[in-house]
Parts: sequence; structure tokens; C-alpha cells
Amino acid sequence: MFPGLDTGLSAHQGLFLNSWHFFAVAVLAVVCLRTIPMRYVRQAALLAFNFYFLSYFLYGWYPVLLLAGVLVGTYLIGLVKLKWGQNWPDGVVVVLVVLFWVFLFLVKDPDLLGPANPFHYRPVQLIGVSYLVFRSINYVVDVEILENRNFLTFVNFMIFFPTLLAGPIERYDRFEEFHSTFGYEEGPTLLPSLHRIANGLIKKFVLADNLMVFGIFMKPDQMELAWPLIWLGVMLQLAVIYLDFSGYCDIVIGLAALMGFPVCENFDRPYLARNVQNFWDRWHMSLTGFIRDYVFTPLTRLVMEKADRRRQFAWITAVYFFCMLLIALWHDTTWGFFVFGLLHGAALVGLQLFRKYLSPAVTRSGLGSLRDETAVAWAARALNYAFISMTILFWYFGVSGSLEIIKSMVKL
Amino acid sequence: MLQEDLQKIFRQVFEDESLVINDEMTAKDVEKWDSLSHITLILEVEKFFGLKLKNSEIARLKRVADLKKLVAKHKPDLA
Repeated sequence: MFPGLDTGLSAHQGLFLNSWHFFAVAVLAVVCLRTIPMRYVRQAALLAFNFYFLSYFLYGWYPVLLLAGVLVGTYLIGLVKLKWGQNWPDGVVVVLVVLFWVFLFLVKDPDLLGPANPFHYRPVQLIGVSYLVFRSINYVVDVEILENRNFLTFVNFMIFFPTLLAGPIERYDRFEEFHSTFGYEEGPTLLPSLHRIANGLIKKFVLADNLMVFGIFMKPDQMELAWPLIWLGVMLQLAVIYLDFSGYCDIVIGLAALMGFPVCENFDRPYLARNVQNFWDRWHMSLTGFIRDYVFTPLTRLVMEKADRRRQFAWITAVYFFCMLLIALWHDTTWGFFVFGLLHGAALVGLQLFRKYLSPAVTRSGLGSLRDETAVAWAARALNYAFISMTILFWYFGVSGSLEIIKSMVKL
Repeated sequence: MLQEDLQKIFRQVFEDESLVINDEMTAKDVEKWDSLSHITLILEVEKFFGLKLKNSEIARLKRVADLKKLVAKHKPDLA
């Protein structure tokens, strides 16, 4: 597993997706959820499967108590928010969302803030903690427009075992619809889902696992490599991460669909992206959608409503950087990830500037039609792929190490 | 009427006088419809219809039909 991918699959001795044990649990879960028509019995069975799976990733009472605290605390906040109704001040939601993020960063990195971090002296490994926090934010912010907010539905939503480890980040309203409906399907399910799972297993455990050794992250002596091998390693790395993570998603999306829970997609052929914005529309889509809806939109709306018109662009630029830094530092709180976030934020802002100031001139000059030319489109894709590949070097090699590799790639 | 009003707003926000909206239309169908212009669109809709939409309601908008439904929910006389 690569640093920065919070799938938790290698960090924990849990129930592995490619084990016979997991296969047996998955088959049993599909059979139960597809054959039990009584709603509460079916939902209770799902709860049992969720806890059974979870039990393989919880070590000791500390993470159990923390998990219980997150579940009960989030649900209680939802109840209080509902009770207050219109009197609930918007500012409280903002404070709660910020506190959820702070909690997440403190749990994930016990060294952050040193001894001031409550988890500094007692680190805790809570599996899928990021996804638990994202679901908590979704629930607390949206609670008044949600249906079926009973505790059973809520807990199954929070710890739904196929998506517990690394998403996709499903939203409560969609999950609740599947949860309440016996045999929910969106089009043909059986064969496409089995096909999807098989594809996922091949992508993750055959292709990604075997190609991994050629990726730059696995090369201990990158600087000693011949120039073409450095290029190969850097360019292959993104493909390996894509195969690994999207393969995992194929498995869990296929399994969830078989269970009657067609959860959201997480990837849409990101290698076809022509720019960084388009890349984030196609890569880890449930995360970027979450950041868009719960961070970018409220902040940008605030800027557009409150900020002086002349300063709006500067503020929106700051929001872009903030969102990209949040996504980057969520992976890991290192300088490498910080620079990764800065570079992607700068690329997004650069794109907005281009659209605002240069794009009209390009269109007027007639050059705009070139955008649709096949060769231009593929050149844009290749450049974008190379940019993303080079920026992910910062995840693993830090700032100076990454710059050394990039220098040797361009032979400076 | 709602359709016509929304179409006028869409054309103004996305600077395209030939834009014709339909219920199934999403951001993927309009080149300039990104996360930033989406907020401009929402603010213009709010201003035009005299609404104040919640962030949780905005997060659920995927298609033009969702926007029409949301406006109609707040302004039943327009439905």
C-alpha cells in the first residue's frame, strides 16, 4: 500500500478483501440481505455483519470507546439540531464541522501539536476514521432534510462494512433509500456486479501488486537509475495507484450493489482529464464531491455574498488553496503533502485566470476550435498526466527529494 | 414560466444566448458549468426568485430538474 492512501489494508491485520474469510462473509451478507424481506430483521442482520467485520480491525477498548463516542456523539448532535429547528444558529454548524476536522487531524497524526494533542501519549488506530468523520459531517449538516433518522439506520450508514475502510463516501439520503428498500437495484445487477468485482480483483491484486515494483515509490536508489527508467517509474506510479485504489473501489461497489446498496462511483477514467480541475472531477470523486459540498461551496458563497467585489477573486483564490491543502494534508500532515496541495491549488487558480482573461481572446482569434482537435486533446491529457505524476512525488520523497528527481528527469 | 425564467438565468450566468435547458441537463452538459459558476448560478436564482437556499439543499442539486423542484418547493405558486 502506498503512503497517503488511507485504505488501512496493510496497516491493520484485519479482514482482507482477497481472503476466503472475507469472501464467505460477503456471500453470507448478500444472501441474507437479498432473502430477508422483514425490514428490521434485514437491517439488524446488516448491523451484525458490520460489527463482525469491524471487530477484526479494533484492538482493545480504546478504539471501541472512541468509535462509540463518535457514533453516539454525532447522533445526539443531530437530535439536538432537530429539536432546536429554525433556532439553531448557522455558526454552530460551522464550529462543529471545524471541530470534526480538528478531531480527524489529531487522531490521524498523534504528533501534531505535540503534547497538546490528546492522542499524543495514547495514539489510537481507529479504522476508516476519515470516512467516519466525513459521514458524521454529512449527517450533522443535513440532518433536518433527511428521512428515517433512526439509530439503526444511522449506525449502519456510519459503519457499512463494504465502504468502511476507504469509501466511497456515500451520503446519508442515498444510503437510507437502499437501507429501507428490499432488493434495491439500479438496472441489471448480478452479472455486471460480479464482472465488476472480478475486474477489481485483477486491477488491485494482479496488476497493481505486480506493477508496483516498477513504480518510483518502490525504487530505493532513484537517482542511480538511468534517465528513461526514472521517467518510467514516475509515470507508472500514478497508474499503479489508480489500479490499486479503483480496483479496491470496483470490489466494494460491486459487493455493495449485490447487497442492494448501489453506492456512488469514485473514479471516472481520470487519465482522460485535460486539466487539474477535470482530474479532480474524475479522481476520488466522492472525496472531491464532499469537499465541494461541505467546504468549497459554503466558503465561496460566503465570499460572494459578503466580500467586497474587487476582493472577491483574491478570496476565492484563497478558498481554492484551502480546499486543495485540506485534501492534501488529510492524506498526511507532511511538507511533501503541503507542497502537493499548493501546486494543485495553484494549477486550479491558474486555470480560472486563464478562463477569465485569456480564454475569450483565444476564442476570438479562432484558436479556440483547436481545443476539439484530437491531437490537442491528447497532448493536454499527456501534459496533465505528467503534471499529476510529478506532483505525487512529493507524497513520498518530500520537497528536496522530489525536486532532485524532477531535475534528473529534465536533466538539469 | 419557471422553465423560461431559469433558462434566462442560465444563459446569463453561462454567457451563452443559445443555451436551451432541459430537465436532464447536468454540469457535464454545459462547458462553463463548474463548481464556481454553480455558486454564481445559485446566487442568481436566489436573487431572482427571492429565496434563501440551504447549503444542504444546494449539495443535492445534480440536474436542472432538481433545481426546478427546489425552487417550486420554496415558491409553490411557480410550479
